[in-house]
Amino acid sequence: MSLPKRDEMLHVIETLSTRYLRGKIRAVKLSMIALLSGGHILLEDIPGLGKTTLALALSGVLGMTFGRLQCTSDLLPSDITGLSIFNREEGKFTFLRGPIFNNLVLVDEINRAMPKTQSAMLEAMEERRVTVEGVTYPLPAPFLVIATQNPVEQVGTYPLPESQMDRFLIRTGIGYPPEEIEKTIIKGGSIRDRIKDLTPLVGLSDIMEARKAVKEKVLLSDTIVGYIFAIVAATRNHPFILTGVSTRGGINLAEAAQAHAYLEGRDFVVPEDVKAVALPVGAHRLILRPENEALDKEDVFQSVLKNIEIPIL
Amino acid sequence: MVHVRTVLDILALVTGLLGSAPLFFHLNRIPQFVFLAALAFVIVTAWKGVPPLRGWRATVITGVFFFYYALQFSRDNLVEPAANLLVVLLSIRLAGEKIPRNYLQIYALSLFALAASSAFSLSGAFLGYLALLLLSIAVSLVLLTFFTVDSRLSLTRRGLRRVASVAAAMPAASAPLILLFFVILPRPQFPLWDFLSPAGEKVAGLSDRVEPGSAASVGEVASPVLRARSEKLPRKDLYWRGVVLNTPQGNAWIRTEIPGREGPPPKGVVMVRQTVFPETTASPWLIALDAPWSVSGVRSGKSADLVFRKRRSSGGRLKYDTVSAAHGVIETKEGVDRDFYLKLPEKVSPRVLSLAGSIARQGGSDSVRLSRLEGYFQSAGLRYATRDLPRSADPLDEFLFERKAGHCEFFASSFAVLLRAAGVPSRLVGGYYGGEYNELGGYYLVTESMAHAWVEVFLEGRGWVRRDPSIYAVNFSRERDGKRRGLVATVRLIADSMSYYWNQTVITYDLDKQLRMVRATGSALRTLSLPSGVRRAGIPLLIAGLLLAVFLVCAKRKWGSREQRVVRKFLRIVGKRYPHISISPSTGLLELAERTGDPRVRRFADIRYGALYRDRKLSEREFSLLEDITRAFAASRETVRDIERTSGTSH
Repeated sequence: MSLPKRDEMLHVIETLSTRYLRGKIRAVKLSMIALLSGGHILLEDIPGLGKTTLALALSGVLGMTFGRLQCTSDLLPSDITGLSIFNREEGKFTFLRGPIFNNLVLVDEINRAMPKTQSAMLEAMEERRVTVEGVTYPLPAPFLVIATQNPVEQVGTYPLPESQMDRFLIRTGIGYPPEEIEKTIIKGGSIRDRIKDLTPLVGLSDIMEARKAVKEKVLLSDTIVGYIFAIVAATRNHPFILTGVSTRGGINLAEAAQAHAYLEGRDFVVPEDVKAVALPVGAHRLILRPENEALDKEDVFQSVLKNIEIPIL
Repeated sequence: MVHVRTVLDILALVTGLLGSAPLFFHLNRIPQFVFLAALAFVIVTAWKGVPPLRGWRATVITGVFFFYYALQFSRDNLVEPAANLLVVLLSIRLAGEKIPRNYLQIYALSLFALAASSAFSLSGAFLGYLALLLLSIAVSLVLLTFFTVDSRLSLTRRGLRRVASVAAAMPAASAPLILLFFVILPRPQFPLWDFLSPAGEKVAGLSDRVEPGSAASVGEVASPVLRARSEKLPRKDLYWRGVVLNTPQGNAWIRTEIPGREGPPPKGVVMVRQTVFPETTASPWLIALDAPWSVSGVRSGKSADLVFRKRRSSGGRLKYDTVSAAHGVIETKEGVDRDFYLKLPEKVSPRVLSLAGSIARQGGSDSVRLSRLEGYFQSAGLRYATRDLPRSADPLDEFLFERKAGHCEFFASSFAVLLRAAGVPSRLVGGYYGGEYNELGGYYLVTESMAHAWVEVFLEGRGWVRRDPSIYAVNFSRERDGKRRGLVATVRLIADSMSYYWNQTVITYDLDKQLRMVRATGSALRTLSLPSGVRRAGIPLLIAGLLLAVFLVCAKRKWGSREQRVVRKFLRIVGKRYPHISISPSTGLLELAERTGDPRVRRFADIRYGALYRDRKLSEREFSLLEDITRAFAASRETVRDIERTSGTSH
């Protein structure tokens, strides 16, 4: 099986999850999937579980430039995109690039930013370019946003509207590490310093090549397309769900499944790929009916999946 | 969720409606009312949740109706009471409480009711009713099997659809077979009960030639000649006319076709209508009760002397309807060719001539001479005999004056010769006399042993008058064979009626008729009154629809490919080997491999997925590999490596 750059990507995952981000293999893998399929990732978990560390480690090991935004309610769009400042020496305005002009951008506590700022941010994520004062600046490629939000704290937040949630390829939590691992982590102390010294394992060109391979080498058969459609259609007819997965959601599901298959070393997608990424890719796009809002979206989505026949015959 | 009981009730109602709808307008008022009342009752009870008719009430009502209609039963009035009773019984069953046996009764009664409707009118719609009824019953029967296991069972709509579609596939699949068999299955061309009749020595009963004195004795064979469905007639009228022999030739009488026109049918005489089922015979004559005026139902030619001859000898059995005037006289419009009917044999003995001369000399009209001759026969002391017969060169002379014993041919031909010699036109008629009336089947059985010959005398002003000289035999009795009423005779009677029904319903129903019926059904379907547009497109649409339905069912069932079969089988085996792992339709093969941790499952999944999700079919090798894995998995605890080694794959 010759999928270009797959070994390198696996090596990255392995290195990260065994040496730096122990107990976070799922999050690491999903981040890689997001990166390979060109989407963004929303980490939804309480603080202190290593979201930032994850982002830092990723950027370090992938040789990507890193930018960070700590969102607050007074964060302005120009704080993200950058702004023009009058340069007295040259006698004209020069554009000062904001933190978004990096390969990997960590947007911390995105739900603390004002809607105006959020939407500017999300627009940049979607379009992969920024227009400031009439000039359009393309964002670097690859471009990966890792946003975090704290689901528990509600005071002073501006929760992302569902339409904006749709723009994230993947939403996932990190979760507490297993007991043994957590003990060693506690014992070992913070690894921030070590991360600073991370040497890139792959280059940007490798990532771009891997992305190309995911898109072009991994076959998405009609059967799988049918399966994905069945899932999407089922979410739209579910009694608990007000609005199901959008067409974009379907596209993202397919792309993420392709990336998953790529990581598994297959040049074709199987239903298990779809199932593996279905929850992180699909669940956050659901809008539940008001009477069912207390339910966990992932549980609902899981129940949808359970009732869909896998085309194995 | 749908209760199986509800579905069964609805289907029972539909079945009952389908069965009795075509019969409905042929019924009397009471059953019509009862049926409608039962329908209303069923619907109301179902609606309100009232308990249905139960226990002794239903039994009493059933009993009352049964006796009422049982009293009306008779051979002539069979269908109507039966049909009425069927619908009443069906109504009571529909309205009554239903245990599985009752459902079965409803299906059976509906089928019988539909069958009964064909006795009133058989149109193309019958086929439609039948198809729908069979479909409904098939589905019901399958559901009934569920119901008997658990009467409170509910099915999901999906499950119900599956059950119904599988059940509906059964009649759909068998319908073409039924049609095929109906057309191609041969029907036996011989009577069912032949072995009960005594084996016959070959003795001709009726022939084209009456030649007394040609044999010393005549064997009597009781093999049947014909059966005639008829009312019961006085025995003196039971002359079955076969052929008229009008020309003497040596010692024999033969038939010469004569020109002439038939007379008009008699007026003021009760005509006897019969349906004759003859046994197959080489003889071309159609036998009918004397004197037959018309024979229909078979192509035949009619002579002026009321002899009917088959036009074309058909190998198969036939039946024909006859209309006869049984009073023994054939009126003629005009006179007859006296010379022709007075022609004598070349040599007539002087004793006969002098006897005839003595009758003629006394003068008088033809009828006076006839009665004079009858007087002679009465007083001559002639005996009826079938053995020790005159065999000399002039048997008639020997019969009349020496032995004074002979059978009907002697009587008839000597009578006719004497009449002709005395100047009275006469002729011989060959046929049968007598007949056993079968009360069971309502028909006469005529056997070869009843073969007979008699004389017709032409009397001016009256026509041809039947005279049977054999009755002047001193030992003549009208009940020639006496009454045979033992157990054997009764058994024979029953067996013969069986034979009769067999002939009537099975044997005379041959391939010709089958094809004709198929054609008739076709044309009935064509002329079925449907809206004009539907009718034009109807048949092709119907066929296309049927084909489409079959195709859809097949596609849905996914019998199709061997790949699917092997996967299904494999899943079944995995399910058995790992009973703690639940395999649902949403379980993928790789997922299964992971959960079982079994390398064989993994290998199977890889092969199957490798083909399926690359959008290609399994190659032969892959397929046989899958089969090997499945087989090995089922048979033993071999490892997947062994399988690969035997299949010659390298890894």
